[in-house]
Amino acid sequence: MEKKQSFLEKAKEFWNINVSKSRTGQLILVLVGITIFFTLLEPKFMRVKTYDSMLLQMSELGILAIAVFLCILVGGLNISVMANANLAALFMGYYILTNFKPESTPQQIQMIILGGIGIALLVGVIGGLLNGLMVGYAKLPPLLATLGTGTLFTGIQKGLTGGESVTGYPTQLEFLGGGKVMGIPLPFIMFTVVSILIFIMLKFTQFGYKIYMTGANQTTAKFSGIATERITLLTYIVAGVLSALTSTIVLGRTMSANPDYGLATYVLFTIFVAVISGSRAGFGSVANVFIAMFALQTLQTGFNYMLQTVKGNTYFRDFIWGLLLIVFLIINYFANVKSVEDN
Amino acid sequence: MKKSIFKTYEFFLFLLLVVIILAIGLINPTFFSIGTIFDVIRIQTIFILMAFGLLPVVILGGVDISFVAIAALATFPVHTLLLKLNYEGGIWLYYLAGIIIGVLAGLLIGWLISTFKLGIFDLSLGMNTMLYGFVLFFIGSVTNFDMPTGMVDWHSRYLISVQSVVGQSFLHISFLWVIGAGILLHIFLRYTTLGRAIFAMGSDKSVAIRTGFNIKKVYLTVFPVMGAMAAIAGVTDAGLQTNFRPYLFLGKNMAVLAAVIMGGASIRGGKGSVLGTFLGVLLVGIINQALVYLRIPTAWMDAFVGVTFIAFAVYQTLETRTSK
Repeated sequence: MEKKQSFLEKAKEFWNINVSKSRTGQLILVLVGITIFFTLLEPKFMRVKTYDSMLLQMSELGILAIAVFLCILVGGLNISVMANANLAALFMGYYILTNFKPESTPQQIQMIILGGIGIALLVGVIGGLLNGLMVGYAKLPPLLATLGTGTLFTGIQKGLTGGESVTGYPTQLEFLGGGKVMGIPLPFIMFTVVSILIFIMLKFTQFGYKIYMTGANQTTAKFSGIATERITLLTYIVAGVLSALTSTIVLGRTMSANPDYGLATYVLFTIFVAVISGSRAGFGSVANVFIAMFALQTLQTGFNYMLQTVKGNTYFRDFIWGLLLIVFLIINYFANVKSVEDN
Repeated sequence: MKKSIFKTYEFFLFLLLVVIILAIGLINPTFFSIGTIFDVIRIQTIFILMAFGLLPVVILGGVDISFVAIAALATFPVHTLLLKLNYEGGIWLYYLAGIIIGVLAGLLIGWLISTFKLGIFDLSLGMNTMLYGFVLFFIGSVTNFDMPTGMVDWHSRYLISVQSVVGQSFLHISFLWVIGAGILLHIFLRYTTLGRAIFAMGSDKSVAIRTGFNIKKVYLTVFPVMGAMAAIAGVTDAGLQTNFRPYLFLGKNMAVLAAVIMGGASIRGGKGSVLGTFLGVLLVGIINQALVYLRIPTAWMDAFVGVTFIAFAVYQTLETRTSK
């Protein structure tokens, strides 16, 4: 009897430390909860095929969400990541189209695609540099700075292409968007590797520590000898690189460089992930972003199954996403109030 | 000491407009006509109305992108309902119902922000997606061209008509809304305690709270004003285009915000004027027209707006830093 009680106490303690007071625990609970919910409600949900497409779909947005997460962590915001990715995809596409010839050998094509990835990364770095200079050094409010650059990136792409998509790439490119390595979609491997690398960067490097410091309190960070301008600049450049990585997936999957791709929804989703993962200036972890992304994708896929037969279901989904964002913003408010009271 | 009129930002904007107009006129003389001005004003009327609504929010130091969705919410559902009731009267009922919906939506936003301390941008992001989703799913997703008889010829009620080389040019009566709303908003911002509270909160929120300004009241005023102006813009657009669209103004929010910022409203809050906003919207309109007259493909429009926006924002930031 006494032993049982102590087990209960232990469970209660475990609950208190790992679930009720930890965002990671809450997120895992939510993820498990919605997974069980959809499994019970929709017999077609729990299948390998479902998870196969889920892993593929969440990777694009997941990498962008990490980019936005980093910018939020350093005390900013970035709503230009998708525009930057689209522009990178365009230049990558241009490079591949100019160098690719029908008689190219598979090896040559591989080199051309690698060169294209290099070009995409370059565009990503330039985009990030522009954002970083404006936010870090010119001290523009990040929302407006990235609104301006986002408009500019999309504008350049529309100007160059007349608003049309650019297509006609060698089929080998499809590997980047959906190829499998040991049965796992390549984009998901990229998302996982990026998550682990950023995790290591934030936890174990000077740079990561300084990002947290700058985000938590810029003035204090500055007085402790941290070059906050440079840290901000570098963070936005990392975000640009992540945008470029996303662009390779998008180009490989859709086989077209489209100026409008994803622009209407990605801002909502990246911020949604940041909000439910509990990220804010100086606080947050990649693990939470990863789990939050998984939860969001599970919801998305679950909705897709359930609403298949409903007419105009995309509009209904928009309605639900908007509502959920507002609900989670309010939940965050109460969570913050509680954590202040607890301390 | 009062600043000389020639040193104000509004005068700078005015000069810029004149220079651009002269430059284009020298290349393409047909640009010089009262018709061009009327064209720009007609196209920009709805943008000016929305920009006026957004201005107080920006002065407060916030960025809202949901006003376009409020405009859709305040027009399409009303129209659907009135069609069912076989309404055949004029546009006034649309304005009245729209403004009520806009004010209610604004009250909800203001209440959420002041009660739960939500980020203005984050909330508006959710609102924008939710409201468009609501209208498109629950009300309808197809543009409606049935107009009540009392509203059919509203788009051709002109204030002035001028004969010029290119033909007849008209100034629509909706320009009166711009003037009326502009004057009211100017008086509200400059000469009322609540208006001053908006500036005070935008400059320094904690100081404004300690001074004793009622923060909640400010939020519960600013957002209803935004909602009402968006509704007026929405109904005006429907009247001019003679159709009602569920996705009205979708994606136009960024252009309005850019125009407000170019009009001299500070990106950090605490600064901004009605006249500047008016000129800012006209500037975007003139650049638009200029591209057409200079035979630059309109596909480059977004890039031009982006560059101009960045240039203005950087200029503004550097200027405030040197003046400190």
